[in-house]
Amino acid sequence: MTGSLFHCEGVSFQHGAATITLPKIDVAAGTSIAIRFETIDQAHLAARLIVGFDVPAVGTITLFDRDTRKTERSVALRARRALGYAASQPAFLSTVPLPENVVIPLRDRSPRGEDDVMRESTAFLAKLGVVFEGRVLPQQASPAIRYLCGVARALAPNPALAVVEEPPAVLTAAQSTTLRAVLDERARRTDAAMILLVADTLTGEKLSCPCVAATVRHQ
Amino acid sequence: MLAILEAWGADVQRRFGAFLRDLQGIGEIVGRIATSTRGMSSGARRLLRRHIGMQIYFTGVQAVPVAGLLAFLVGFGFGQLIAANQIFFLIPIFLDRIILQNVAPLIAAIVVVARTSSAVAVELGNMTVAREVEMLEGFGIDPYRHLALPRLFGIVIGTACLTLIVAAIAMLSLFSVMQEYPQSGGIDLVLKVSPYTGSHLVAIGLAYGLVIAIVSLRQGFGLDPYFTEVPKAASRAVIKSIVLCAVASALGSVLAG
Repeated sequence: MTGSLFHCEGVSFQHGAATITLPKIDVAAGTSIAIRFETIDQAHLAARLIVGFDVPAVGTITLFDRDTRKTERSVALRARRALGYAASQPAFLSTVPLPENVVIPLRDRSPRGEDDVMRESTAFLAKLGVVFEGRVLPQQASPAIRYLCGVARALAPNPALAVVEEPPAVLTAAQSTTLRAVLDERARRTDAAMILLVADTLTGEKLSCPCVAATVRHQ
Repeated sequence: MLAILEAWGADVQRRFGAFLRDLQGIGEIVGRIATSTRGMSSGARRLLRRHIGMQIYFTGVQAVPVAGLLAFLVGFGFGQLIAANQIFFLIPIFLDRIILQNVAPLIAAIVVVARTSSAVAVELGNMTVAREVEMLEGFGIDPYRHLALPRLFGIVIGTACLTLIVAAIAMLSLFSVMQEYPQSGGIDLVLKVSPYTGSHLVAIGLAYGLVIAIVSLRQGFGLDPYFTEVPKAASRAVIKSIVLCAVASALGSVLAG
């Protein structure tokens, strides 16, 4: 173990006619970094590489000291228990109400009782300004609420490494401020790391963590 | 003629390839389910128990009205047949060998296939296409533990329970017809059921449940990620489950002598 939670070197991938190259990045505990892209789609593709859903055709990505290209599925699955991934358009179990969707990773990792994990998850949602009344299924919620629920689901279990994609352009000013406060609070922590994938220059600059840009070459 | 033979040959080759892929897929499902419970937290274990209970309820309890009606009609039909032809000496064969050992498990299996197999294939298929399965993997949650294991246990136990219920209803239905004919043996009719039949019913119920569960899971998880593939996966799950249940039934009959 080198203590590195995430490392990438020489990684590039295609998005349409553009070739996107990630800078060399090393993320250890207590480090937070934002990577800026031209579009949210590019950020999403990079996120899929970072969390190991896809493997890079060029370069190497090491997640929790394991090369994602060489890691077995079962090993990668266990390693991801220390990871929290919030996509810009998160997927939810469509037949399960949103609050129960949010609690899934927390419940899966925690030995505590159902009431405790539900309370903790609800408190995290409230911190993001999301309060549910009644049974709300994912498809009944607005994209902004879905996004914030995705963030709560990723961060509530307090993972060693959080990968957060930039919000889609649907958050209100108040929601953006609340989200930024939660992300900043997370970025200041010394025991956890975070990678933010942003496409909006403003989002990158407003955050209190260093921001590097991915190189995009159009053919 | 040659063109027909060529097309037929290509079709056979394609189907054989699909069969091999299915076998491989089933092996993968069994392997992944077997290893999926490693390092489970107590929260995950609690959830697993709840999901198994829900699946048993859906498969074994909610299907009782339909399966029970079919069982009642079968028992009633056989009763009328026996009474109309005055073939009371055939009751042990009809009741034990035909109704209880063959027809009742098949009724239960057909109802489970129609209700559960297609539902599981559609549900898992939609989840695969909508990237919900991938989402679980993103949080380090094994979808084979979270989604497949409860369905497997639920369907297997639910089918075995439903088989016993269907057999009991069919037997009671036959008995209700025979009550009007003292020469049929009255309450002794029940005693004509061999003790072996009970264990046979449970065994065949478990076997049918296992076949239906694995086929449904394979079709749900193994489809190409397009929404248009989901209904095809559902119909494949139904057809393949019925065929494999019939094969299991035939094998069971051969093994039972």
